[in-house]
Amino acid sequence: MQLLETNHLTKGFLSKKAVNGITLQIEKGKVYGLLGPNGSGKTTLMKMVAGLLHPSSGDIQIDGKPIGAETKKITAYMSTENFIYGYMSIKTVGKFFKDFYEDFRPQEFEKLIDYMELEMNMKVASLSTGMASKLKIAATLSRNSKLFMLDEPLNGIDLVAREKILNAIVEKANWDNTIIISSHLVDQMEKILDDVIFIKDGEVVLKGSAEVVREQRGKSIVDLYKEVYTSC
Amino acid sequence: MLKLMKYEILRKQRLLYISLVIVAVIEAGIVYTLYRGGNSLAIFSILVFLLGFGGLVFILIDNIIMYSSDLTKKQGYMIFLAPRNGYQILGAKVVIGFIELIAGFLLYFILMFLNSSLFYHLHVEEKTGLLSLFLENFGDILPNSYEAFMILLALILIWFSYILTMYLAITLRKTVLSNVKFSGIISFVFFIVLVILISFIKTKIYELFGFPAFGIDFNYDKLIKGQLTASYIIDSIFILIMFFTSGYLLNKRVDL
Repeated sequence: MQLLETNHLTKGFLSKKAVNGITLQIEKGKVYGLLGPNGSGKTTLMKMVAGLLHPSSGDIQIDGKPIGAETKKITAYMSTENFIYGYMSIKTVGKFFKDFYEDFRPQEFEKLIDYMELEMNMKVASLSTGMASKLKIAATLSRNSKLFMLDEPLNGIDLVAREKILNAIVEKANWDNTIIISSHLVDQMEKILDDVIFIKDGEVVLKGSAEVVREQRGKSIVDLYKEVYTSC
Repeated sequence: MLKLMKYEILRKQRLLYISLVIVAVIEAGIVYTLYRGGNSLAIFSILVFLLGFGGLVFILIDNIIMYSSDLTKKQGYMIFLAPRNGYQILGAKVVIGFIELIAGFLLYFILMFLNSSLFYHLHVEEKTGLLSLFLENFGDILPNSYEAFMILLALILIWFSYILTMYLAITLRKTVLSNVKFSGIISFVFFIVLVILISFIKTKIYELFGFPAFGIDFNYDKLIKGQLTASYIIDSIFILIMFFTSGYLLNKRVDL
């Protein structure tokens, strides 16, 4: 069953298009890898689905609804940038999410904060890059959303913590939700992906089940990634 | 919208404490110059002006910075990702901005009432004749409390419409030129253009109804029934137009 659908989605002007006519159907109950180098259009695509950017043309529907306040209720987007207000403490971040998202689970948030070795009384402004990344992930994954979009969730995270984050993502995945992860770190992500979407110059160049793609091409996703983007 | 307002207040909390400390320091300066009297009364006048006009400018700048940073910095994602529309997000900011303005005016007038009582007690009571001389010359042009309230209301609306004009200027700049250098300067240019345009339209409307567009009529009854009533209506209409235009752009056009 489809959860997210984009039709001829374009963002940009004239010849400079960050996203160029992408048509996608994303199904429920899967973990998708949105793969591509910097500037390929992954973040722009995610931001349009999250409602932070408006398409130049084409349309997007989540669960049959156009992008707006209703789709934001069921979409949990984690931006690659640190988007949490510096004046807040981690506890206030939890309160903010509880106030705005009906699907937020405070107990899950507390558990994840503990798992990420953070403390509720820490100020966001005083967190290191890695700690701030952990906080973003904990807050996003504490929701029970239908659609999760994690933009470079391993950025700024040390090797030990990466494993923890991947575990947290795997634990979140179920038949009722969809997780889309964008990352350069394909080797670390490959083991948790059901489907892959390769994006190049704002266009989808390859899409399919990770297992089928591996079998058909006789290569791992990492090797395929190198093949697709070597000419970039 | 109440939840959005709650987090607007929390964001302003620290700034609020700092501004209260600044107000307390200036007020202490005012009281000190009042006690010293003589030439210090010149400094007293400057401090009274600084507290009033400086406070108004401070509120305007505070509102501009908060709104602008939500549209230009990544932290703005936090409220724009929340399941609320552009009108609700803007509405929360506008209501808090209005409350801030009213609270600022109230604080200023309470302090000025106390300062004027102190001034009267220290410098007027003994020097009999000074106040009566002032009232003799200017008593006729001073408004009574009702008239003063109505004039104040018009001033608040005018200042509030400046805040909304700046919101619209920032939103327009973000819509037309999303990621450009010197965004602050460009927004300010948009603001100036909007102010000129709105003043031009207002002047035409005033002319149409036969009110003087500039200057003040010291016949307060006539002023309130005519020019000020027109000002309340026209400013309120412009405030609404600017609010709905900015809200629409936030919903449909602004890219973060």
